[in-house]
Amino acid sequence: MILDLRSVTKFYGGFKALDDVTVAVRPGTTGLLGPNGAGKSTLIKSLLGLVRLTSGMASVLELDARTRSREIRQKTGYMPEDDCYLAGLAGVQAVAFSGELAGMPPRTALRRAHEMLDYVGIAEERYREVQTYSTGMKQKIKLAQAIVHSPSLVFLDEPTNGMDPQGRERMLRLIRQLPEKGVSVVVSTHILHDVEACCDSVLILGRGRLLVYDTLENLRTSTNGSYRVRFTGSGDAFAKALAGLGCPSRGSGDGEFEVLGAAPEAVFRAARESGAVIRQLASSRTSLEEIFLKAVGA
Amino acid sequence: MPIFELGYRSWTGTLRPPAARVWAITKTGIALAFRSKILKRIVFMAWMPLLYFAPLFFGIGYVTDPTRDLEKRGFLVGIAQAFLGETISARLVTDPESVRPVAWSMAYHLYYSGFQAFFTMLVAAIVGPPLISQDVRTKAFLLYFSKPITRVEYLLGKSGTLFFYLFMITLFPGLVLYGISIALSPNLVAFTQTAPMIGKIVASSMIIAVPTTFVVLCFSSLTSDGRYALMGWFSLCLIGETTYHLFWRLLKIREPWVPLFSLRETMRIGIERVLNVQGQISVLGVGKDLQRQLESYSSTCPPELAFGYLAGLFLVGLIVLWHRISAPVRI
Repeated sequence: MILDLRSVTKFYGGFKALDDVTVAVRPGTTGLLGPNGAGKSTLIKSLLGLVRLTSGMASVLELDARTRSREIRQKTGYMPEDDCYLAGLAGVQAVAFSGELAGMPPRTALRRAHEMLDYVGIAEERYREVQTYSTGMKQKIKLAQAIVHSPSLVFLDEPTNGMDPQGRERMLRLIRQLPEKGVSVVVSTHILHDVEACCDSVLILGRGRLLVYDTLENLRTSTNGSYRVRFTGSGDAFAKALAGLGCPSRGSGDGEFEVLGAAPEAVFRAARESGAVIRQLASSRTSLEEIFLKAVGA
Repeated sequence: MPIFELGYRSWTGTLRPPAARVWAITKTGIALAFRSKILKRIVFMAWMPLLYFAPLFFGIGYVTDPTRDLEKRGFLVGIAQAFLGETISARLVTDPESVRPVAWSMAYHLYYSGFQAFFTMLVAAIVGPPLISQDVRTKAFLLYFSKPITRVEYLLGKSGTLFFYLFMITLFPGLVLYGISIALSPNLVAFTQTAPMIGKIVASSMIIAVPTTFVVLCFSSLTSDGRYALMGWFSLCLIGETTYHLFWRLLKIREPWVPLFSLRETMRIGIERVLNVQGQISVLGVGKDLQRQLESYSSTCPPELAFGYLAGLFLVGLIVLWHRISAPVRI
């Protein structure tokens, strides 16, 4: 497990930012979702040891977040959401400096900085001061700074914020590549499309509480036995046959039904009775937006 | 663009110890500050007093050389009399070598509390204010503290930058001056007599650099705009100096706490104690001019109070810094 949280609670004065969160996150890419004030940033900062937990146990890469935060930060990278940079430094210097802060020798850090800037797609602009960069370039620099020291786990807070569609796609592609190289990623974002595009698990927080944690595949697959059926033949007859078997259906287009609460055998039987030909039968999938809205109770 | 894109590659290698990370912060701060042309000029000018003091030390070495006939020491004796006063100069005839430590202490006192204290105020005003305020403004704290850096290491790194520049105008020229003086001395007795001066040079530089660094960094951490930190520092120096002179010279109030208004005067009292100028002058005689000399070095403020005040400034600065550093991260 890359993250193991047990009854994690964090108070800011009287405000409960995290409320008894218990979850074990598997390696891979995890989307951290939640409305504003859900506790996403607090959770990340707690795991990095930047804020102290009020109660509960948290471990990152099997290191206790309370007592071994320095080792955690050695093995993890963090790309903050805020527009933060090291003033006066050129892009390559800023990334090399981050490497040196992580303990890399200066020459190695510089060489590694160039590699990371190649990776994120910053070319000659690397010799310009970071404060002159566009928002998209600053996002890329922050990613390069987060991964320069070769962490095993990276926390990315709103990585595609302020990026144009092209830049966003490139950023998502970069994020997708990291797990292939053994780097787990936790992406905190509001953009559900980003999570669908690059994550294999989703963790949804709401008002500091854990609402959902599962793989995207499991969440999308309907748990109430619904199926999406594509067929040719009479839709009315097919619907009537399904209703006769106690399986209500709803049409979502020509020759396509969503059958609720049915076993596949019942669908085939209804097709046989109504003379319809089934062209495709698949478990009905729920969109991430539906999952999210349902989880946060909107 | 890379000719052949390799994608992300992991890195394995030996990590450097925490001290190297502190040095990385210090080194970066030094390099950024050194871009300022004004700073380069001030540091250059801060070395200029050596052009005055190096010949002075040569002169001291020359006139205090017992192997030379005093009559043949020529116009240098006249200069020595002007600088040291009649009573001490009279000692040049009877026991010239005993004058050397006193003369060196007087010269170093003038060097540190006069010239270098002024340059310290300017260098601290240029280097210090942006050091932390800029990190507050650009939210760079998140970048620092997401790496394996502690608050202590961050503080050491930032203060290292200011220490470097302050030592560049206090400790290093002081040691160079000492080296030149020894090199120009006629015999090795000068070294054996003045060897403790090395420790006193280090201590005097610390008296200037430590409170200055922590006060300026404290101002810097309180704002996201370096100009306010600069104003805070100048206000402390200028308003304090003005108040001190108002009380001391115009109102003739000579209470022990009055010199504490002036950071420069407080440091001077501390430096005087370290160099022990009064103590060394006292043992040479009791001439009238010597009394005047002693008065110019003395103060109603006991050195212990001055040291306590400087230590207090250091502690207050440290406490404020401790609370301010990383505070934005914790929100």
